[in-house]
Amino acid sequence: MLAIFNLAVPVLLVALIVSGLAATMHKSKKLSFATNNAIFLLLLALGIYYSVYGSSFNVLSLYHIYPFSSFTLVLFPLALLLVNIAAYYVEDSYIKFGIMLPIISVGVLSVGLASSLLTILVAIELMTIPTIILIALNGKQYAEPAAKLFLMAAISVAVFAFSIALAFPYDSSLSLVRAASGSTGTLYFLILSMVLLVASLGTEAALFPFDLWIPDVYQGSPNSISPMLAGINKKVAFIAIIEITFIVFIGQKASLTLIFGALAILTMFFGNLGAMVQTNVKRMLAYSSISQAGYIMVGLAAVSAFGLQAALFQIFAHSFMIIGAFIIAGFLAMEGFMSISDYSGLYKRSRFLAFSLTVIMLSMAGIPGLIGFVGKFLLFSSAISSGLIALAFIGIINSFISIYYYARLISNIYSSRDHKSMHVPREIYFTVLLVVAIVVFFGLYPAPLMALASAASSSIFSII
Amino acid sequence: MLTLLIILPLLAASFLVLLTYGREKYTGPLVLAGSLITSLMILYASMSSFGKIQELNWFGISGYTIHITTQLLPLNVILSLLIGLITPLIMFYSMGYMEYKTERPRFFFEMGIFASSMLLFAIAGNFITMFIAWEMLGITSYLLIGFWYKRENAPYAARKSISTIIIGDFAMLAAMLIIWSSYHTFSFASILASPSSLYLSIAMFMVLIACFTKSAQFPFHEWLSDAMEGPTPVSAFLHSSTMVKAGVFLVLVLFPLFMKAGLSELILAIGIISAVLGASNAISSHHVKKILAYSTIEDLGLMFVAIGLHAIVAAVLFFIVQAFYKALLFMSAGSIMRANNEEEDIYKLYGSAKRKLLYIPTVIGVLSIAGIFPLSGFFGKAAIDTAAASNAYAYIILVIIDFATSAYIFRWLFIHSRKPSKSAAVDYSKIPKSMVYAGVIASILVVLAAFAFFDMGSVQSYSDYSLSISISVIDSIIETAAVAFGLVVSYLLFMKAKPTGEIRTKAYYILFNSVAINAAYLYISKAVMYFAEGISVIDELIYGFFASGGEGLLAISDKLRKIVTGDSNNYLIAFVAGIILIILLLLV
Repeated sequence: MLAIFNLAVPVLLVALIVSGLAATMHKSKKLSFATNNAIFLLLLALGIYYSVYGSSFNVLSLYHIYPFSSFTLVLFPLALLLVNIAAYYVEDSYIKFGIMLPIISVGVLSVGLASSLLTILVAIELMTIPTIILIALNGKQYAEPAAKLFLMAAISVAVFAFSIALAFPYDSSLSLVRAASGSTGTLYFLILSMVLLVASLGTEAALFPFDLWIPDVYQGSPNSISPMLAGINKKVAFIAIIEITFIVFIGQKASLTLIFGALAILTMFFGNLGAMVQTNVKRMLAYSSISQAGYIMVGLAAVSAFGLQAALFQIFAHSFMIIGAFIIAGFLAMEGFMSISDYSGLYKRSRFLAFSLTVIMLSMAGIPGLIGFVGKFLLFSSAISSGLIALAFIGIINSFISIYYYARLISNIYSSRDHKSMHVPREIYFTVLLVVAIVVFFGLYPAPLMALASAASSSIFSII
Repeated sequence: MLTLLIILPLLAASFLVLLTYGREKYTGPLVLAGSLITSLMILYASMSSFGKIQELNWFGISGYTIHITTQLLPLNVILSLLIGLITPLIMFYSMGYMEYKTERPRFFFEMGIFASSMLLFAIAGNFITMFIAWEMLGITSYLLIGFWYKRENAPYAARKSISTIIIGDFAMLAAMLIIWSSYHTFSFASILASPSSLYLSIAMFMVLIACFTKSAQFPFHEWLSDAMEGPTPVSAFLHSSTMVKAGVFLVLVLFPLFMKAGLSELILAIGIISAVLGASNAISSHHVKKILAYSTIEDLGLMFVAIGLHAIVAAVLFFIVQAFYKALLFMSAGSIMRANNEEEDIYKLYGSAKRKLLYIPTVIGVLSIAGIFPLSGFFGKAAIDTAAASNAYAYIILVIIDFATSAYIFRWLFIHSRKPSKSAAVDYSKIPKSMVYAGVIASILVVLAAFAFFDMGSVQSYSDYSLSISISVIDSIIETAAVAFGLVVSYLLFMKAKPTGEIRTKAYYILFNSVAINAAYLYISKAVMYFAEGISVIDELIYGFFASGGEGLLAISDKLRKIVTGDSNNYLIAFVAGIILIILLLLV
């Protein structure tokens, strides 16, 4: 009985693929929407179950379930659920989403569960390629973001494969736990492999200077897909970076701190300074999500269980904040509100959207009482406790700068202008409400999420 | 049961109220239902979790865990039960009071949050939890006092209250920082058990300042009379079981620490000064609600006197009985004002004696506050008098205050129960039923509160201080004589003499010293302003620094924007350059 229960995750992943393939046949968007949601909910329940009981076992020698992967099993199904529900309204022909999203989700979930480097590589491709197709399917005007994403993904996967090849000889194994695990000393090929890995995954994770394509693609993508790109694809890249660097390359601690620290500083400054002058809301959010990637890197640069806990917390937090923000921005873009000045008087159009966007912006800026504050607080204190005081200080300066553009949007929302009110469809209402609930609840009571992140981070450090 | 849960129904109802815009007949009943459920839960919790301290991990960081701690020790139970009794009553009263008024949902939302924060304060078991509730009280009281923000004086009164209270907030924060850095704990239980030190004395002094601002003690007492700009249910609430009681309550909870810090003489002195100032202003004020407000300052002063005299149980007894009669008197004042077209000048109020259902509860309240046997106020006052018997100066002042209390409260009663003059439009039939019945229920509670005296043996929360309460016969006779004398004086001056309120003698201005104190506030704030203007040079320097910094950042930002050209070739070049740079970084 128990052994069969252990197979639940792969069974559900297969069910996802079946659901996707079946959608090509029945073409009923309601059915496909319902099955996808049901499977996401089951996966979420499974993730919560595994996290609570701290399960640890291998499945089919392909997947490894341990607290870290349970964490991703909580985070991603919930995020995918939100994206799916919002897309149901935003997409005019949901069925292509219904076909592609299950396949993307298999990729997304496999990264956290993977037990070998090759699985991660394949999973990331499984995630990226359908995303590109999904963008391109929306029409000619989306050819440019699709082409850019395709180009960067192609380069990234090539470099990733090369990086794996460089690490392979150290233990002649592709298994995460064995491949060069924890090899110490100055091993030049290993260091080169690490740099290439960070560069290749940094492309999707939005690390400067590999992230220049991000604003174009996030802004240019269809409104249903930008939340997924920023809230899921980017976080998957982070999960992959964490898994590989903190297991395979953990022996190179000093170099890791140096690389992550330098990238954190560059990324934070690039994201925050870039966002300051933007006028398009989606583009500003793209830059802001780059800066948030920088904050996450601060926690990784600490190379400690505490730092990793902080980074995972922030990954969770930012995933939902940015999904909420992009859903609102996407919905408003559909209604014809693109630029920051278009947002003036949003308060009069829809109190709900105005309030929710305010909460999300304040949370991203790091106002106490909201999830973003807890995340930043953990990140910077983890940097300080690892002795990276300068890095923490730069992070604080950056979050100071970021208030400029978050507050600019908020002040625009409440600048008074008379407008007739706007109808918010229930899909958007529900997803945004859920995001706000997460932001406020874990902002006020972060203990459960911190415990989850803490278990995940210590399981990574104790895996070798 | 998790004690924290008792707040939930009220909190949930308060938020649900926001959805009733446009369907406002549900607003009042919703909050009333929420507060009734909360009351039942308080009752259940005070039996099932009595004496328990519960810790909930809030968040932990690098070895230190911050807890949300709740405790239901005897004092916490007393305050929670008080809140549980008075909140539904006031909500019931407000339903009538807010009839035909706009923005009902906002009113009930703010009231609900206010009551929930006080409840959180009542069960708080450590400084962090207490401070959250403390700040919530400050903010919600600000909103409630300024509820009618379109009136001329309301925003001013709200600002005055928040700026006074904020002094205390800073003091409290400083105290918490000192306590954390010297004891590494916020829990009341472990701080009470820790040894005395200089840091503790400083911290306790700060806490005391905070308590004085919240409980409106000299020199921070004037905000309370201005707070009368708020709706009457707010005053009834603020003065009975919430807000102003917070300061006294915290001093009671941490009482042994104040003794260790040697602050009892200070508490006694400030209590006496505040009581005298409160009584003198109450006897001279013309504003029907402000008389009661000054009377609250006096009551709170008496509680601090009792604490200063180490008569904890007497203070707790007075704490309980005062809540009921003050709630009742404010409700009556609101009803009388309603019948007189919201007139506030007491000399223009008439005819409260006409409506028996309103008048009899009011008289019960008045007799109780004056301290006439066997009503609850008598026990509270006599207990404090008995405790003061060892201190001659305090005793004499207390007797004079007893006399003054009786004089001003009968003045208050006599003036508005006169027969209406011909010009005045008085209509007692237009008082909503719920306002009248709330008063009746409150008067029953005032009568019943007398039994609290006979059950005070259970207030045992500190081990190292003797706790007893007694009322000696001689002291009660002296007290009753003072009260009777006050009644006679008041009868002669304000019933027989048909006063008009036009007398303005020197004695009047000595009694009505609130004007002078407000002038002193202005003087101090002006001095602070001059000082601030003096150092504004530095301020401008800082501003200039940030302004030019901001401009610089925007310029950089504009340059940076141009890196992202939209051309994929550049992105690929950046990718390769990035890899090379990282390798170089590692090699260097």
